[in-house]
Amino acid sequence: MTGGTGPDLRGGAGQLMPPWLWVWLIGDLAVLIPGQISDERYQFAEYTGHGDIPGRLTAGIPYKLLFVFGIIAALTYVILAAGAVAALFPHLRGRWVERRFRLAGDDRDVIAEMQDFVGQYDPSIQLRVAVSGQQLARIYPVGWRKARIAVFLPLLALWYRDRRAAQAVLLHEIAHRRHGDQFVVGLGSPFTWLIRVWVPAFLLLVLTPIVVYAALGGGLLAQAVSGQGALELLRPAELLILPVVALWLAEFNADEFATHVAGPDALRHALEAGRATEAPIAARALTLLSHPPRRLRLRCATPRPAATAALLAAWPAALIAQLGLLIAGAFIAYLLIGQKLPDIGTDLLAGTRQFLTGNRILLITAVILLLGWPVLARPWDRLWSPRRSSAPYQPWRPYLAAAAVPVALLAVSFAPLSASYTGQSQAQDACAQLAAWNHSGGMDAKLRADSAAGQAYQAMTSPQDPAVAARTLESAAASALRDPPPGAARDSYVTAMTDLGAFARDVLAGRTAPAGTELANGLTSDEKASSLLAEQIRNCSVPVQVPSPAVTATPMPSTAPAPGSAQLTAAQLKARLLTRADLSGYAPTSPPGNFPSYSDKPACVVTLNDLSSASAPSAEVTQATAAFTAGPDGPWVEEVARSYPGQDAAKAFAAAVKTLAGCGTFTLGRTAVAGTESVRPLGSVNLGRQSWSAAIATQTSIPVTETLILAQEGSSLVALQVASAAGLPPAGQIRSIAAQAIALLIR
Amino acid sequence: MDVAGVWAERIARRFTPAEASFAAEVGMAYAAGGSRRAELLPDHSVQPGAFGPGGWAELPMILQALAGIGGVLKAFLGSPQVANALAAASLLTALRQGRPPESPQDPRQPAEVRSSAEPVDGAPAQAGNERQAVEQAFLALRERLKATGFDHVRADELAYGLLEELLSDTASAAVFLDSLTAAPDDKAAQSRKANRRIFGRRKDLR
Repeated sequence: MTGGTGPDLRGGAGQLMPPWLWVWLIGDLAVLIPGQISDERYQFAEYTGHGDIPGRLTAGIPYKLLFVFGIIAALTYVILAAGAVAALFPHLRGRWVERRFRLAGDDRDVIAEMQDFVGQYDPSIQLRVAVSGQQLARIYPVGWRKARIAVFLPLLALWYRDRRAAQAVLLHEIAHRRHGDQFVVGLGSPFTWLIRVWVPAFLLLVLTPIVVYAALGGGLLAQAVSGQGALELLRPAELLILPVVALWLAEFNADEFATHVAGPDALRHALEAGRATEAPIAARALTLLSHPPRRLRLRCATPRPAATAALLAAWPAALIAQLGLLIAGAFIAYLLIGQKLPDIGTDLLAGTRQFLTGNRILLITAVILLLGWPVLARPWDRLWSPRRSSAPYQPWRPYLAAAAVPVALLAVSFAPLSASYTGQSQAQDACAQLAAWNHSGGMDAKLRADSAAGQAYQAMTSPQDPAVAARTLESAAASALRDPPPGAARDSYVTAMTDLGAFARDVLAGRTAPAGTELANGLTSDEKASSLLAEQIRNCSVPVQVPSPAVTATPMPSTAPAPGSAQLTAAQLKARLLTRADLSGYAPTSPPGNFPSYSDKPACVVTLNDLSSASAPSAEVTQATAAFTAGPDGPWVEEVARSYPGQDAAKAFAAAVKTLAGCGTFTLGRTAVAGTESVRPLGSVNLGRQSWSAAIATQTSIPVTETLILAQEGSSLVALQVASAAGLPPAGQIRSIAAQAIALLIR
Repeated sequence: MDVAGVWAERIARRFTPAEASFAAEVGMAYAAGGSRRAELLPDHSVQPGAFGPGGWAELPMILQALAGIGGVLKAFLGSPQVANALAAASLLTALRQGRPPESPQDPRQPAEVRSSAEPVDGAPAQAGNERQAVEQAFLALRERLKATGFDHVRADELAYGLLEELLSDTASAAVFLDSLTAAPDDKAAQSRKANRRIFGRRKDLR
């Protein structure tokens, strides 16, 4: 073997493992990271209000936190990319390492002996000595085909105390060099350094905002935001699995070389030598990012065919671990957004298929490398080392066994698994199309046309020349026609823009009579289109499943929150109530608290009292109220805003409507009948997720009329009552107040 | 080669022959202080290789122990009790012979040292204060070596041997001890150690 009998390079000379580090580097830099950048850009647009989620929703702290998490997660790509790019400058690294560690050549006997030993396996490797006690020996590159080994004081001592252990250490470093690992691992490796620094920094950066948010009394994050946060927080772990496994396998490969040449005992002794200085737990944990645990290496030091096959299959198996982590994160996220279990199962299957499909190139590469490695090992070795390996080819059997893993994954990627996510089909596609139309400037074009139409109309009814406004309208309408919206609004939109364009042309041509008709038709169609578009936008402000790029490691769907889906605190509700500024001519007032309690239809009175109550109906419900008056006889505006847990807002809405719709006329009083009250349902007023209104008239000593509007959106329920003893404001005005109340509540 | 290099080589040849090749450089690096000294000592914040720090080089740890109680040793070497080096060496030998080779089994227990009033078998009677001075220097050095990381047996052996060496040339030894403490430690390393202390990893420090 060694130590006087010369080198023994039988059995592959350390090229057991395909160069998974290089596979990861190339795959990540060329495919994965560009895909992830695209994904992150989409997420950032969402979190900053430039995506499908309205800006008024993303203005809150939960989205700002998500944005911060997104930035931090994205930094992981930057770190990995920086480490990979830095590996491409071995000359610079070599110079820096020799200056940093004060490495120098030396011709003392002990160094000469070591150099002779190393030269038997790779004569191109030179030794450099550091008067330092902090390490044993480390390889480092000084060029693309040149490498050196830094030797430290403990190795010099080990050379005398346990020659074979010291040789095992050197053989391990030689193996790295012959495997081309030295660009990524070894002394002064920017890649491993960045990973070691980044993991604790990531934890600190993520935990700090969460702790600060909690300390400031921010309460729990909105459910859906938490879901997205869970995905963001797990992303770095998903990203690190493959490089860490690749680094581990490079170490196992180098160990295998040392074991093969110097024997398993020599490697064991070398590994045991490090036990004298047991590092703190944190340092050991960080070491695991670049090196496998010593116990595992000691176990693997004894070569066994099954263990060899398992090591060979470890890289493709890491993809399964990555998928597992991805599924775990998505599962948590789905639970947090309250998705049903069967739907979660469907979505996870779709995500699994997307993951495997996106990694087909990697899987095919793994299959080719594993099946071809017994032959490819020699040329790969020759690529880095001038020494020609005389080792026989590796046995095929372990490679065939290991290839079964990526082959199986590849087969699963072609299995007929569901490719679509729950509810992603038509509705979600329509929303995605709407979002795309909005992103492409479709809405802006419509707004420009609307504005131009308004100016043209004003010009028509004023002494000024309408030609300028008409030209602007003609251009704006033509532009808007080029990109009509998808869905139900499309036809009205096309009609509106066609008519407005025709109107503009008529104006320019001086055809006044048809112009008026076309303007009227255009405005009517435009109003219809606007209404339908608003409806579409409102319906689509639920989570939108936008497919990830074709090649991505994180294909799980976005779990952006539905507007107002999280329960609000009383303080949050209070901050979102109508204010004096919203109600011109009104002043704040305190609503009376002396409710009637006697009635022949007590359920009706109880329900109406409840909708005016100063306190929430239960401890789980949060509430805030505001009241305004325009004069002693009204109108009075009273807003009761409530936020419910889960789906309870919809239930409360349904219960109130069901009761009030059946009330008709009933008696009321405090202890006896003092008058009557009647509730006349008016139906929906198209506000929020669902709304209902009623005209209420009270016949007591002073007749009072009232309009009640109930609206529910997400977790919130608003009861807006506008009452007066001297006549109510117009219905449109009352609806506007209610619309404003809803808009404030779900911002 | 300066005095630190000479003495480091001398110590290495006797106690750590495996490290003798670069002993002079180690001594000079230690005496230089700063980062050169810090790099001689284990530091877990350094990114490890495949084999970790791989066991210490003993010589830097010995120098660290000597530097750690340099003041005590210098006082001992300069005291009237050891003015006669031969007598002191004789006392040390007597002390060594009078002690079982691996007395305490539990290294956590302090070393059992005979009372100075108790006569040492086979050794000529000495003045109590001379014997006490030698014992104190021995105990201080041994405990320091143990605190540096050596096990009890090795610390015992080193403490005797190092005192013998120092007593063999007290004037040069004093200069050597001075050289070990003349330059300050690496501030960055000190800061790192302080941080670790804050986080409760005191046991890793020397």
